[in-house]
Amino acid sequence: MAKVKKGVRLEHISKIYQDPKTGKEFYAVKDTSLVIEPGSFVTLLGPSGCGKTTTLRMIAGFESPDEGEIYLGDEPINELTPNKRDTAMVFQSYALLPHYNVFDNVAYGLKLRKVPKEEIKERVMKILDLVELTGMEGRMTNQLSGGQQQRVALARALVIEPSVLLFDEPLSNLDAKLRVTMRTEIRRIQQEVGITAIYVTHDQSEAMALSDNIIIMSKGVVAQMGTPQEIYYHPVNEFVADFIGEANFLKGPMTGRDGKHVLLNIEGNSLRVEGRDDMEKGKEYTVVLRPEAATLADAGGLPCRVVLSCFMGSYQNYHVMVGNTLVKLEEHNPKNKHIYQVGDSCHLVFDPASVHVL
Amino acid sequence: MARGQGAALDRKKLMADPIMVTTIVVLIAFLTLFILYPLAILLVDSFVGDGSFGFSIFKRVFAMKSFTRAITNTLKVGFVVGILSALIGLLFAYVEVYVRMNKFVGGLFKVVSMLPVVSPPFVLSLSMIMLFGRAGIITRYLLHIYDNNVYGYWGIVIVQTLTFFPVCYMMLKGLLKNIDPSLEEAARDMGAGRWKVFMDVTLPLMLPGLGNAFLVTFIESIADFANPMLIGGSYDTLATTIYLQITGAYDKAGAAAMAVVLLCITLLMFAVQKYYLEAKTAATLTGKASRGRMLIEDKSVKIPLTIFCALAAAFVILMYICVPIGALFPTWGRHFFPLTTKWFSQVFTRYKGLKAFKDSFVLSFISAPITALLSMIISYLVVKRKFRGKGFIEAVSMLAMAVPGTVLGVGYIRGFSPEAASPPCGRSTSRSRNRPTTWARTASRSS
Repeated sequence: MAKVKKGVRLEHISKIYQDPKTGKEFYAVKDTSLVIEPGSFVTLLGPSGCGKTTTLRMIAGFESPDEGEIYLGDEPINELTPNKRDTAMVFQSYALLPHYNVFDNVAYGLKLRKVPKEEIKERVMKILDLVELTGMEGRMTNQLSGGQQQRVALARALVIEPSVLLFDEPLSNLDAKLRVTMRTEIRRIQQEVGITAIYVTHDQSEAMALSDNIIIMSKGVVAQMGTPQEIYYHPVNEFVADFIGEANFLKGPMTGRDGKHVLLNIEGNSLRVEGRDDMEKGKEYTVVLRPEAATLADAGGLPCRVVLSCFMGSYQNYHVMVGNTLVKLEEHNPKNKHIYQVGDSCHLVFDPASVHVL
Repeated sequence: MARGQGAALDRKKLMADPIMVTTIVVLIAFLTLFILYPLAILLVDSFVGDGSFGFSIFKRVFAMKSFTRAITNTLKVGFVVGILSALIGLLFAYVEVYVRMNKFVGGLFKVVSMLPVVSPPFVLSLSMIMLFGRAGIITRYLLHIYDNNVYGYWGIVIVQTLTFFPVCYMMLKGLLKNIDPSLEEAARDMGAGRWKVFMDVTLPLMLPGLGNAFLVTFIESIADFANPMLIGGSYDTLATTIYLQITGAYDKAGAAAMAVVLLCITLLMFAVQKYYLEAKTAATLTGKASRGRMLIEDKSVKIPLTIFCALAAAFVILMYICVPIGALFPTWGRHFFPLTTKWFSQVFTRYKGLKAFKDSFVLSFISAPITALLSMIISYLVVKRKFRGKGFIEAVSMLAMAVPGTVLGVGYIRGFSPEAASPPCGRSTSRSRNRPTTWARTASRSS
């Protein structure tokens, strides 16, 4: 596509809804500012009701922001109706027109743009080839599987060559295996076309697999924006840490500093972890420990007691108590390792560099 | 072999429930006696009424100019009423489901589009005559037209449209609510304006539903007796012609043959509606709404639609207001003041007086519980139970829904009145516009 790539910018966007039962007004999205780089794949991730879909629908033009301005490239688009915006959306329910066949569904946007017939045919065929649906153009949409329907929806969005592609939980109606295949497909196609994509999901593994950048939303505001690695390894708060992957939280006051390491008092034990410069002695801190980052040993680390030991195939799942704190961990490839049983006393061991202090 | 055993066990279990067996037997007897028997009598009358079996009676009635004219009249009225009702119903349904309306205005439209459902059939005919007839308030006193003829084709069409569009409104409202809003959003997202979305998505998805609404209204229209009787003037429809054939010409065989013709038309329409269009509607609109619909707030859509609805609403309201107010005028069309209650007191003293009220209420009180009970039992049996004869019960109930009241009325006169045929009393026929079939309607709708 010879088109200049465009990014999306949200400046202090708010959307106010009214609760239909109580009549109270609340912020679905509150004072949100975002910059989405041209050509990047960005995911809006969060639990239901966090404002991610509302944000996406405001970019598409289906909802109007109550405050703030949305830009597509450098052009403000608040005033534009959805049909005038250079965006195309892939819906959760596919939203294929049931009275059209595959070809007509994909061609619909081009027909509206009064593209000559020959060109429509050529472009539709090319896109159908891209989404691997060649030969299906004569089928009615109810003769397609869920995955195929979503490919048609994707083709329909791509064929009009929008500046931005919007995805509203497009895979949540598919079964687990197909979800994985389709997300790889979506990523492949997005990179091939080089289009800016904004993707809404509540599935963190989808977000990880697809995105250049993840935006985590909670209660209408952005909790954190960053690459998948940044978000996983350096979450800014407990909500983000807990939402992305599994996380254990060890809490305790800082007792001292040792170079770039700090000492924390966790359940009566001294713990040495990588710290930050702005940490103060005596203040309470939380350490984020990922389940795969720790292991159990007979000595060293934090003393603990096993309360659950469960074989999961590729890993052994443990729940241990460090004082009064429950820690979940996964011992991978457990075949030739010592397996601790419930009631065993042992030690929780991890690399001071593999944890993150909030 | 395993299946044989299953069926035998099912039968055994059913027979072990004597109440159920009795209910089924009574029900079958009831349906046979009150629906199949009168219809069978009609068939017998029309084929062998003059002594020998054959089409001679049909030939005779088809040779009558008045009858063939009645057929064309009926079809013409039904067609136009069907289209108008479906369109007005669609308008009100669309406005309710798609457009953000002021609470009061929206509520008013809702009431207006339901009002004709609960009002007696001929109130609108009466208002029409009072407003637009020769001595009509609007025609004579506002527009100074002294010879306006409200009786006839247009009178029937207007009154029937107002009477039947609420049915279309309710059918179409349900369908519109079932359209997944993301279909329309997708079209809009692809670049379609509001009008394009309506033409390319909403309307095609609604087409089978509209056809369905059209046919239901069509059937209602050609079965309607009261309105053509009151406002038809010399413009006869099948229902009134059949009635006159009995009451005027004492020609029961002829009336039976005509009733069979009317029955064939409605049954045909009913079959198309039930087995073709309903299935198609269900096929196009199975999608569940994935999220709430964004209501239209654009003034360019809202204002014209509001004006259309307001005009229709004003007309309906006018029609209903004129009856109670008109009842207070000393002489309608001549003296308007001082208002009087003398007509109200006459209702109870003159003519049939209280007896008319009593009769109406007694009939309602008898038919309502029977209707409710029967529809409940039939729905339960048809949906929840498996037994031999279920197909029969379902089919006959459905048939009752499709049979025009007049047809059943003629069948009843022939089947249940003593052979010394005194001129049948008109009320029994006119009442039968709805009553005998109501329970069957309820039954098949709920199933």
